[in-house]
Amino acid sequence: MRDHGFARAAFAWSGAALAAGLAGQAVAAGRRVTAIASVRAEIVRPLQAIALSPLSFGWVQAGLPGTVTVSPRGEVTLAGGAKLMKGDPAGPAQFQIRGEPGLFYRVNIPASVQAVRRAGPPAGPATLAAGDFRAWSQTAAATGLVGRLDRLGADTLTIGGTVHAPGGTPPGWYTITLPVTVAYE
Amino acid sequence: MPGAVLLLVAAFAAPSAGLLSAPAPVRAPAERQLQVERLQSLSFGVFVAPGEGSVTVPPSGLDVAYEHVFPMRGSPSGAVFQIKGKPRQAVEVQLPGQIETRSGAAHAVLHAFKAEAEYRTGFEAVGPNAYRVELDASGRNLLHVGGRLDLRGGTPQSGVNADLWLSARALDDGAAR
Repeated sequence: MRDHGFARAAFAWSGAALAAGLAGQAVAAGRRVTAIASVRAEIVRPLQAIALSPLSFGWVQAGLPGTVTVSPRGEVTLAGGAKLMKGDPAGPAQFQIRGEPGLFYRVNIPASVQAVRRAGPPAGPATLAAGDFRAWSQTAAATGLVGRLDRLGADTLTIGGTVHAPGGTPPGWYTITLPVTVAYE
Repeated sequence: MPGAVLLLVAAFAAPSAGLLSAPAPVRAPAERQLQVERLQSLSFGVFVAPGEGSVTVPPSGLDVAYEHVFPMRGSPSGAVFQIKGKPRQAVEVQLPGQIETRSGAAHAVLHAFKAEAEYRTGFEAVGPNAYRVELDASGRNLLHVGGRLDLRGGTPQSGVNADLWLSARALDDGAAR
């Protein structure tokens, strides 16, 4: 019995030694294996809009109700009793847009705003409704609310609109703060 | 009777030759070596960077954090590596500490790499950028790796491209453990 027990113990020890030997061999021979994955990030230049000139409806004689429309390409259309006077010429607002070459961007303009009388002969406060704003992207060569940056990442954006002058509008200098934002499509 | 012995050998040799020409029906199982392969790249996506900022992509690729940059399109994703070896084998995995890429004055720093194992038994961090990973019963595991991208000193033009390495080393012999 003793011999038998000794034999079992010896066998167990041999097995442990064998396992340890194999494990040690695996670690010793365990070379490092490596794989490589690419890392990518596409970074886009931020859009910049630089105002070059304001949207001007010019000097308008508006004794009777009328409208003045300035297109983004610079054409001026009069309707009703509105008449343009000589002097400060009407014209669209002009912006230089800069950003990532070739990308499209969306122009956000409010549907309508109020032109507020800032200066002129004494009169009560007055406002004029302005709206129907439209944009023209030189690079996209299209009117609408989507522009495109050229291969250098630049575009010229012009914006026109319509101002409504009701009858009896007090004479004066009316100004509009027109918030224009651009964002990548 | 030497002649009789010779005849006997010839009788056994003929069918053996026939068997050798047939396709081998059984092949001894090969010892499986530790292997790592890349299944998916690490992508920080497309974003607008007005200046310095950072993007952190978790290993899952979900809940990406943006600081001072604005995501545009495409979805960021973590890298995925497959580790193959022996069943239940313990493996030590090492990721880089930091990778830098430069573009003029601007440079991008990739760091804080983190890994998650799909088979989580025995998975633990064992040091800076090092993990202990255990392979499953079929000798496989998938590692998802995320990290953080810092933009410093301006915005690198044309984006960031780099190599993310992952190295693995067997800690034991798997089933023999």
